[in-house]
Amino acid sequence: MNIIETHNLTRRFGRTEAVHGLELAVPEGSVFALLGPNGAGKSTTIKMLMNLIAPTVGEARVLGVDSRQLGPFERQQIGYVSENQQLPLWMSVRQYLDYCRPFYPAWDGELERTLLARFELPGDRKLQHLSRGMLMKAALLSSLAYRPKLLVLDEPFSGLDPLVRDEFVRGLLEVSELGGWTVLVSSHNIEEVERLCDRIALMDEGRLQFAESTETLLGRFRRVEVTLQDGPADLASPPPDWLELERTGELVRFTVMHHEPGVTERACAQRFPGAAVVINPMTLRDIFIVLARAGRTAKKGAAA
Amino acid sequence: MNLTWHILKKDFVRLRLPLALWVILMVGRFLVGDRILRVETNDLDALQVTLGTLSAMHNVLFGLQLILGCVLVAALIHEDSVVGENAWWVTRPISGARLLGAKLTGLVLFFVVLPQVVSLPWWLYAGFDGRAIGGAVIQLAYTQAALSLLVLVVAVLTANAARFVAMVLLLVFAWMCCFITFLAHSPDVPVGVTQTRALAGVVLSLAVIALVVVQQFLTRRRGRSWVMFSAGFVLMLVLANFWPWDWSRWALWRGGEPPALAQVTVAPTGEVAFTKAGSNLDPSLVRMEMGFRYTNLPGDYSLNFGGVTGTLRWPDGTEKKRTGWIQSYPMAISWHIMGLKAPAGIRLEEWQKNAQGRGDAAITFIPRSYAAKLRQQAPAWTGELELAAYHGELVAEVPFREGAADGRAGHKVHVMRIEHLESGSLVVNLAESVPIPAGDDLPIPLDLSSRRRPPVCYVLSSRDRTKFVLLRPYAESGTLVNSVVVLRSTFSVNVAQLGNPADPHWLDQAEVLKVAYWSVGTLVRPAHSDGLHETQFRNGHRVEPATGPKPAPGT
Repeated sequence: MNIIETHNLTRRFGRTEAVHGLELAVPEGSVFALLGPNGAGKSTTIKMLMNLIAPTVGEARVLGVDSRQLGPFERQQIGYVSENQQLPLWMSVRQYLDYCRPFYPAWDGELERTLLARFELPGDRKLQHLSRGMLMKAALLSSLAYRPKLLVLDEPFSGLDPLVRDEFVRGLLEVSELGGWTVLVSSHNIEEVERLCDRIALMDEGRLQFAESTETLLGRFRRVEVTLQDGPADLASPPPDWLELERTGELVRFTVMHHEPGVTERACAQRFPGAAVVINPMTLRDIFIVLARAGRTAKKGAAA
Repeated sequence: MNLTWHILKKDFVRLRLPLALWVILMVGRFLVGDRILRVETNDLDALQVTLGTLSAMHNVLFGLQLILGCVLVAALIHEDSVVGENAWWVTRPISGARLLGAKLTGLVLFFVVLPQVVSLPWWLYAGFDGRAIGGAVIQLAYTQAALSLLVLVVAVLTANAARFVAMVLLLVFAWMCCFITFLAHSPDVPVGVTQTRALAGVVLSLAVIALVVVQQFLTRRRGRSWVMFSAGFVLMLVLANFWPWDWSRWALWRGGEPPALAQVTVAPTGEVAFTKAGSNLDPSLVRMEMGFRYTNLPGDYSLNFGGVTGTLRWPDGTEKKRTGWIQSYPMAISWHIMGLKAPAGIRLEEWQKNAQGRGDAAITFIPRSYAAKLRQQAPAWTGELELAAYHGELVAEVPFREGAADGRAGHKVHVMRIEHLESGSLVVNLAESVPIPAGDDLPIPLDLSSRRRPPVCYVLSSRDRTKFVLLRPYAESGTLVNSVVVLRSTFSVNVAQLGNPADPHWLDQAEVLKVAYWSVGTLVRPAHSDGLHETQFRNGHRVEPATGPKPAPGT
């Protein structure tokens, strides 16, 4: 069952189309990452999902309800943390939690105390005097203590230094062990997402490029290095899933988008007979960069 | 409901310090008001300077309180902004309706109820009785609610303090443009139509404010709210300038006609005087006064100021319809006198013998050519007069000696100083606290004259009421401090006026009487004069008109 579904979700700001015909499904229980460069439409999508802005066309269903109809009952089951959210900074951490508590019948005091200790948040310090990382942790705590069915994190790592980012991710990983919630996280910090998520969607210029499990994604992308040994090399018209094909002297490098053990090797053997072929797995970051470059190249080609 | 209180409690904690400062400013105004009532000096000129300083100090505190009040209302709304996508509450289980409920409750508690609670000791100290306190409560609630609503609508359309200030400045400018347009109406527009336009504007403003606030809280669609707001503003401009009907009789409270005045008749004297050459609004018009007299007016009632509508008809068939207002002449036979007899027991017989001057007059403007025509041919006049009726009530009876005080119906009069000048005149200084009735000084351009602060009259009278003189202040310093007017008045009395050689010490037993005239309703009477003729007045007394046609005044 999908906890979030969008159909032809579109948002325009004047003549600019921030999100175009988005078809997305976030399965229940998954940790789902929405990746993309700045301006890809991730935050706009999340704002539409949270009913912070209205879609121009299409619809989104969150917890089975049209996002435009999200009411207090549904909000009691959704946690939302965003870098842009205006928290009541004049409150201390304790005051903030005391203020949040009555709005959630399912607020778990024990979990609150556990998280407070685990995140090492000083209860009597005002939110405005917390570091950015601590502030995000306080926001996360206030969004987890009622065990929401859905946790939405909009650019939670933005502006955090690597150490704090690591702390935050560790905190997230720890709490993910505590409850069976669905997490939707938008980010352009790929390393953190890779550690967290089991499903990934990539957006670029308002359009969805793909959405699949991290395992499948990491499994189908491979970096191939071919060392030619005086044999023939057919570099003309490579298969469409070979990206960034380049030759430097005797070395040919490219990325395979749909790798299958044996198939890639056979294809290399046909094009580069006698060559030594090394196939390496890729990190999410490498995949992201390759896809971004390929997108730009395709756009330039289309423009030309 | 618990969650609504929960939000409200949070807002109170957040705003407690500026709220405390707001209350301190209010209490500071009370202290200055008290000082105005108590300040003593042997030098009456120095007293005026001191009172001016205290009044200015009060006004500064009031200005600060006003600004802080606006900031507080805006802060209350911006604490959980209903504009933009980043407000915290939007992603929490808080509905727009609940938030609106919390904010409205906050507005009422912080800016309507709290000032009443803080003001209650001040009102009691000022000598207010139950009726005066009731009036003060309503009056203060009006003012605070009106201010809060105006700020509220701006606050819900802005995301932060900077935008709020910018928007306020923009709206003040727009309002000034609107007001100038509103004032620029033709003098031919009847008073009732002008009143109806003003009232329609107020009703429309309230409706637009309510609509915009509710829609913004429930949907947070600011574009739509702006469209509503702008449409309301434009509609108000249209109403203010083009509304054609006079609904003032149904829409505005005038209290009807008191049964005690059923026998009162109003008749034109037929006298017309041209008192001023030309009108400031239109120099081609001439100011014309038509005399009227009342009969069968009971001794404790007075009639004063109102509207007049009528048509001048010449024998040759020429007609001119004009509207205007009614004014009393001269102060020596002031309308106050008529209402003094019963409440103060004043014996008016001697006064009435001397009341031979001009009576009340209806003021209107007519074209210069019609003024010249009136001199050549007497026109008939048919019309209708509308008069505000007042009932006189004795509210203070203070022995004429320094330090004496008395008061009732919320009024308190204190004789601060009596000075005998070498010229033989007496100078008297009074300190007073005066309640204002609900509806006074409304921050809307409505002529609710029937609800204004009651006019008052001061009389220095012997205890047996056979000798008396009207006291008229030559210096007055009044300051409104949360529904209490603190007043210092200085009167000069020519002792010769009081002279009674047989009893030179009657002043030792004299009393200062203060009579308030409570508005009790409106009298509407048809009136007709077969022929108007010009009469000359000099120093308030009739003189024989010159014979033969004269040029129109101002020519």
